[in-house]
Amino acid sequence: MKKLPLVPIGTETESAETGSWRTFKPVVKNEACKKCGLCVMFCPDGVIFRTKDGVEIDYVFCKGCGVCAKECPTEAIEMVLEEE
Amino acid sequence: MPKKDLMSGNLAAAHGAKLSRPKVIAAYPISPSTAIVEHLANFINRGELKAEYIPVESEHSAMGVCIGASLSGVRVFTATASQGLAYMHEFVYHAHGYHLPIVMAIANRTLSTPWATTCDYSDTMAESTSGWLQLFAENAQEVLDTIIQAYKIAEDKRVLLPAMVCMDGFLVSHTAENVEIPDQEVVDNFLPSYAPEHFILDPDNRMAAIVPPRPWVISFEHQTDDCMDNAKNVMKEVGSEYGKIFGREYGLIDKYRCNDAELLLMTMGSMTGTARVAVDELRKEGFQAGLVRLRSYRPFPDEELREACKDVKAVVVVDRDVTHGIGGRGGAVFTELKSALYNLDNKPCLTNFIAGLAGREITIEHFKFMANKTLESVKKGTGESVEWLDEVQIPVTKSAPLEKYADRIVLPGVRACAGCGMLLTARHVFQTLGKNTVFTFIPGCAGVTMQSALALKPLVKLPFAEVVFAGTAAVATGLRAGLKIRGKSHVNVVGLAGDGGTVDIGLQALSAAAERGESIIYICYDNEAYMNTGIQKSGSTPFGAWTTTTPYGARRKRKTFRKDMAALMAMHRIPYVATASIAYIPDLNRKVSKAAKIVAEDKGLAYLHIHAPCPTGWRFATSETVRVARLAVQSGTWILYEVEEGKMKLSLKPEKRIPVREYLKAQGRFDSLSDQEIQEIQQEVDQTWSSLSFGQRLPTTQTINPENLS
Repeated sequence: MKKLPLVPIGTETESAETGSWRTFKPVVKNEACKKCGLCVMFCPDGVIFRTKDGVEIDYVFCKGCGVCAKECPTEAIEMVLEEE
Repeated sequence: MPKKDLMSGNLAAAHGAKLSRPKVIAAYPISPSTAIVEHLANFINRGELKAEYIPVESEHSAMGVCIGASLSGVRVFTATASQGLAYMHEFVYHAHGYHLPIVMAIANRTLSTPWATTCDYSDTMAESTSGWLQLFAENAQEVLDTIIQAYKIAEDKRVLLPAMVCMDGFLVSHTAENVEIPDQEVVDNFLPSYAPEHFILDPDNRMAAIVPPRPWVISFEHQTDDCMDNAKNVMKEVGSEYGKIFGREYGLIDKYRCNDAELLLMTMGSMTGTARVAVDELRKEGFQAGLVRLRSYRPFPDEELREACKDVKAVVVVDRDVTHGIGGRGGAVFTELKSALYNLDNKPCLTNFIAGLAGREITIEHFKFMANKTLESVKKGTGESVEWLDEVQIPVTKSAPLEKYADRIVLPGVRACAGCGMLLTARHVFQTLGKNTVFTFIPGCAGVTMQSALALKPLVKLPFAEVVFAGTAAVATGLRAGLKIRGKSHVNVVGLAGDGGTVDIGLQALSAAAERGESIIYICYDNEAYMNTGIQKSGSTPFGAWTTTTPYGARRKRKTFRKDMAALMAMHRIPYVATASIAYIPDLNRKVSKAAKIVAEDKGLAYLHIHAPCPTGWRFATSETVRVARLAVQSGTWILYEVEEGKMKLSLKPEKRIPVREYLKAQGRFDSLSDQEIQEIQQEVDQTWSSLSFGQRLPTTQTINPENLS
């Protein structure tokens, strides 16, 4: 048997994807983006990033809650049903 | 005619309780027993059960309410598990000396630490000397049947002791089985209503329990021990009578193919079903195997076990528990069995296997392995042994790509629901505080979801430890004190808890830390109910909100108000109190920074109360989290303010407050509110705003004029 540490501690941070939870996918239309950053700020999971042209969503982790689309003042994010 | 229905162990427990007609029920959520009291709330809401239902603020009070109600002379019921049972501990002991026949259902679960929500018997074993009867059911039908019997046994004048009816957490509590529900009239005939004569608090029959002369205490305990011993026969009588009436007979132990057995497996709870199959297979393979299941652990059925073990060569005791430090090592059942067999002339070879802790599977193959190992011991004459079935396989995991998150404190991949207000709160709080932070949290939404996504791989890049539900502020205090001694006063020490862990069960420790002036940052994310256990009412649940323990909306006979926790903390006159909302992140972050500054200056406790809506519990779409939080502020329902050194300052004053109705109607949990009730809530909000006196110092005892107190 492999020896475990005395206490279940962890030091090395790693994560697992949560993108598979999505039913709807937020799709960004950067041409409509005013770069206000509200979606970046309000994303509960913090998986939206500013880019030169607007924003980019990390679909590896995005759970598809839709807060970003709801909060976007210019409707630059659209929720689209995930396909198989 | 009895009805049959498919149901979980928890629903079966609720039916067993309902059929026993308890008059007072205390309810506090804890996995895996929560659903029992939720089902009872539904029965009451539908008019199927008449009982006072009391959603208390901690398990300590759950047992306190049961003791008070039992002292008033009525039948009572509650349910709990694990940490909850441990938190009740002093009241659990209290019940036996007053001989209060309280019945409590337990969905057995590991007692921390290490943390687990799954089944073993460490929780009830820790109460095995408390003077409570402990009956372990194997399946959902037995849970229902045993609760009804437990009242009859506990209330018998020869016994008069409280009783725990235990089922395996998740394995029985959450597994659906076909269960027969007896007719109410038949149960009523079997179990007459409770009419105590030994002790009741009632002016019409004056009795008072007093501290006895010290030398008598031993005699009172002796009597209790006699009652416990009497319970053996009473259990057998009741189990036999139950069998005659309801067709299912019960004893202290349950035997399977024992007649000519040379080797016995000894089990408890749900593992027994698997063990029966193992016995059948072993017999096919030529071993004369049998099985004994312990139904009663308290009292321990020593005579029955001596009888069952007297002609066998070996007994394999499978313990879903361990007694650390016991002589000879091993589990509780093993140790007690050794004691029970001490005077047998031909003692069998005993082996003990510690297995299934924290819900680990015990398979048919495991039982056959244990039997074979034991037979080897018999052949070799090696005698008694203790082994652990605890092989661990450490999985090779691959992290999802995290390159983009190098500067993040909270990593993505947190198992919180989509659209979680708590996660949005915690992510910003920790990012603002930075890496020079240590924190402690509890088994609420944050504690359960934010630790790790992969085995032993933390998701928050800070040192942290999850502690018990009532202990956030106490552990943070200790952390701060130790770090200070070690010359690390500059480290932010944070306590993070939800509303249940703050305004209910954590209030005592928090209030004391505030009063002592501990320089810690306490963050309460308020989602207005116990969300991690599945939406039960807390002291922060607003009037009229649906929860699973308030299916009628959070109201009882009269109108009640949620605790105004920030104001309560301000009354401690600590250096900093602030409310915040996830809809106003810059304001939230500014307040977090300010709290850190105040604590860094060692001025005392800084308290932040953050409104964090919950789509799952408040019944709105996941996309609405921030909008709902904003409506709360815009309607004036949630007020953003700071109290710094006693001075109140409004952080944001809505230009024109929107109607409260807009906030309430954005959520499903307020569906039961009438127009008049909504109007009343509006009036309260209006009144609050008209009476707000920002910039003023809070009234203190010195400023209250005694002449106005008449």
